[in-house]
Amino acid sequence: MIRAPGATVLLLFAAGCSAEPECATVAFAAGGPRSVAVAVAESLAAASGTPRRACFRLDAQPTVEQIDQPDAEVALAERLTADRSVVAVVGHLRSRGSLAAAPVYGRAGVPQIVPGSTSRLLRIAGPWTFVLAPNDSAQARFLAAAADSIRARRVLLFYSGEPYGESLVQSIRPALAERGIAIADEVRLGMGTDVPTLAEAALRRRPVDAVVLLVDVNQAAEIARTIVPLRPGLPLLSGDGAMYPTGLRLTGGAAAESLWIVSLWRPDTTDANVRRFVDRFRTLAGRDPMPTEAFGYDAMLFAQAAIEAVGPDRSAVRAWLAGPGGAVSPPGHVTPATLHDGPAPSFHLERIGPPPTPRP
Amino acid sequence: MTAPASGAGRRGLRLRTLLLLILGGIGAYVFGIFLVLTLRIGSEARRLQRDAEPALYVFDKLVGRAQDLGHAVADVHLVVGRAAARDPSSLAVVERVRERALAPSRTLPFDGVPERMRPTLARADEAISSVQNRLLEVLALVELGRVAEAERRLGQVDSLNDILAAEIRRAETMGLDDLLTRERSLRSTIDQVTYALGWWIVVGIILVPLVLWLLHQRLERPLDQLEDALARVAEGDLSPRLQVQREDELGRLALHFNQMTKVLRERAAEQGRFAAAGALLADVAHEVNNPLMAIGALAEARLQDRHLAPELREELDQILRQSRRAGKLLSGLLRFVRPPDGRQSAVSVHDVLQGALDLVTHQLVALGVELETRFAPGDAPWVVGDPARLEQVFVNLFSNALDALRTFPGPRRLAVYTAVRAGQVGVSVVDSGSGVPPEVADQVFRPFVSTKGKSGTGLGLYISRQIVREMAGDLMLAPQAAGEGARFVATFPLALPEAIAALNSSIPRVGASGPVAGVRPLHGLKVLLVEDEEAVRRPVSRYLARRGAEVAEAAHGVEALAKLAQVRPDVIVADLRMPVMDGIEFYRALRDKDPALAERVLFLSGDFSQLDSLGGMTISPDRQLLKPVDLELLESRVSTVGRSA
Repeated sequence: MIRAPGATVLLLFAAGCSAEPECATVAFAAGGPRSVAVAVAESLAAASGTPRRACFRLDAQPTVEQIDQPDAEVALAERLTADRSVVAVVGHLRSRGSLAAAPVYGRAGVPQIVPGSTSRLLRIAGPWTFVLAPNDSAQARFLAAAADSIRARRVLLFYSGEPYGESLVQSIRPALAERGIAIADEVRLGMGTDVPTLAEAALRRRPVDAVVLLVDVNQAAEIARTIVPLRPGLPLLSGDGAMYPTGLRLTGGAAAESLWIVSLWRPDTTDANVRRFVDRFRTLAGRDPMPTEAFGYDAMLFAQAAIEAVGPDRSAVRAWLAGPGGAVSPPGHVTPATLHDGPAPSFHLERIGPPPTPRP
Repeated sequence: MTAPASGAGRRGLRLRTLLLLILGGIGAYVFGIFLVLTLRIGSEARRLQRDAEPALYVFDKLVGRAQDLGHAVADVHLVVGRAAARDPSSLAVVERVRERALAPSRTLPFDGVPERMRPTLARADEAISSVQNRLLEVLALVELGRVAEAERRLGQVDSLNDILAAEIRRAETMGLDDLLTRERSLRSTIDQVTYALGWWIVVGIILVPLVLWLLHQRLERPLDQLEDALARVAEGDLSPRLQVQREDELGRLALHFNQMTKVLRERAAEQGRFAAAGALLADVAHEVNNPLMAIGALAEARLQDRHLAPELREELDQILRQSRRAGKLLSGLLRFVRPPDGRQSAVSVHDVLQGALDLVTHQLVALGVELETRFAPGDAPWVVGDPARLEQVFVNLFSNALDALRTFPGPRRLAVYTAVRAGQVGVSVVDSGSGVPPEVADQVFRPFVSTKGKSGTGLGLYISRQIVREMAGDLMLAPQAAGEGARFVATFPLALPEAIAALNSSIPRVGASGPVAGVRPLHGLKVLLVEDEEAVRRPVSRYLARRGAEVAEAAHGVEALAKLAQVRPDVIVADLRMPVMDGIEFYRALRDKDPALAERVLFLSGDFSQLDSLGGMTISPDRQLLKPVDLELLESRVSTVGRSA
């Protein structure tokens, strides 16, 4: 059942559940583009033909303007927790929004599963907040290793003045120092900053072997567009915050294609569940799913498994997620991540190449 | 104070429970005040501190950053001015300003800040970040040589700086408002607590008199009544009765007090009858003693005749023995009923035992009880004490044994044993009755415990043990042995020889040999015999005369005083009970007239309790001769006193 008037999507969709009032609701607040929600919901519907006790509410997506705006994220969380049928929330999309909303969920006693955000602060946000993606310490070590592998000895560091960048930069400093890589300059990029000017000035200030970006998509694209013409061939390594190829190409143009970006997930095509998920996603969105979307999908599977196991009770769901249930990937999962600290995830670098050829 | 006796009072809380409740109430009252203060004001103050501290910290940091940023803006103005003037040193200044004034700052902890203040403080933080970012951009433009652009951006920075100042002021105002709100909240809480405490104190003011009244009713008043009643009992008034108001501890105490005074009243009445009987017995003894003494004296006097026919001598001898036996029995009875004078002396245990047995001999015969006495061989054991009281102990033990045997089918036996061992003399009184029931065996020495029902006072064994313990001994009930009834054992420390000598030195010993016919031991002594009974006076006078004394006679005190005008005797023997002037009055008159002679008066009586009327003056026991007196003893005393003159 899809009703899509305007910008909001009302999607109460689950096999055998539909919109029965007794159905426990999992609110998905980690999305952005409409297609992501649709894809995830469709994938869930296709995942199993058995009746389920959990319904998924996908009308809670923040608009593009609202994403990472603390006030908007808090308002969204308050709206969701006020709905007694909401048993768990998957979200929010990024670290800043997730951190802003975490106290609201903690006070209301609603389990929050953060799918793709990596800030270390999320791990200590409270007993009601669970994180699926690996934390930024591991990513920082991976980035330092990548810089070391291209023999970079002096790097220029850009980081966003958001929890994502602030947290990741705390981890990467020791990681780089451990590998003998000096930080020639650090540039903090606040909201609305004139990124090109700062980037150009920083690049001219000192000689560097590589640039490390701990920024969002737009900032990464602008930096690439500034630096690539000035220093063609200078390696640009970026954290996972810039992993949105479409946005990068849109803002950065061809220069963005030279970026190497950390990816937290790569589809395992040998896994039937992953293949089915990717196929459905491509069918609905016209592109491959991004890591955050795969983690969002698994986060919803975790919420669903908890409700199936203990029923539509917020405290019981929290206890299940905090217990052994959260330590094992749920049936149908597409990532190896769990809600507990498990084995180190398999990071890899992806280069933004030319856009895919449109399908006929 | 006195109230009609009542039985069980109202049922109510036990006194201990009541006191515990009162103490608990007081504790709860005080704790309640503490709790209200702690929970209401303490928690409010803690909440104020908890909420205000993070906000103050963040505000303080923001103000500090804003001030630093203000300096940085001034520096950047300087840098841009130099750059515009193409001053080559401007780049060096850029580096310094960027490194020192615009270094990235740590994220502020907004978590603890009250939610209503967060947006304002966050906006101020954002404004600081905006100014900082713009300044960095300006410096970057200077570095890139785009000075005009830098100047234009610097104008924006100034505008943003104004916005920042406004945000800081807004945050300051909101912080003050917040503090004022909290202060009002705290004041409101204090007012509420003050109001609540006021009521609390009012409740306390109401409760305190209530508690005091309760304590007065339940504790103070009953205790006062009990104290008054005890004081009256101590003064000899056994009439007070306490009202039993409740079945609590003091109620039970009042009940026990009433029962105790009731028993004491009954005992007092019994004692009164006993004392009256004793007085009556003394009178009877006196009336009987005189004829007995006359009979004995006549017989004894006649026996002095060496020409008596043997048959007549034997009959007179029999008369003398029987009269002496009757006299001995009477004197024993008088001694028993007479109040003890508490005088300590060396006492022959065997003599006292024999005296006590004499008193119960007739009961032994009447009940058909076989008596077995087995006294310790060798010298008779002596103890220190009051012989009358010691005799009372033994008579009590014998009486108890006889009471036990009275309903026992038989064989009825009473055994009295003495033994001396390790400086102690033990006296065992054993009967062949059914013994003391085990359930009361450990209570027989308690006061008012009796196995004889209403016929027993319940005080006999209690008093007996007290007497024995006062003599440094003990009285106990021995475990029942096979073939025996009750066995009571009294033990006493043996008197030391020195003590015996000291205590008995004043008592003259009477020679074991009888009077020798023809010998005149009283020769040369003048004796005035004052006795109203001629039947006594004549044979005694003849006996003394036959023993060599020169005897003058008087029938009463007045006549005796008249005789003294004619004769000055060496010894005066005076009866106490006489008509016209009795022995006491005669003694007083003589003492006034001739004190030296008054000290040589021997008193003759069946009851010496009259000597108590001398008011402090004491008459030595060796000057008291109890009727019917042994004439040999009389001769000895007369000789002693007369020769000492």
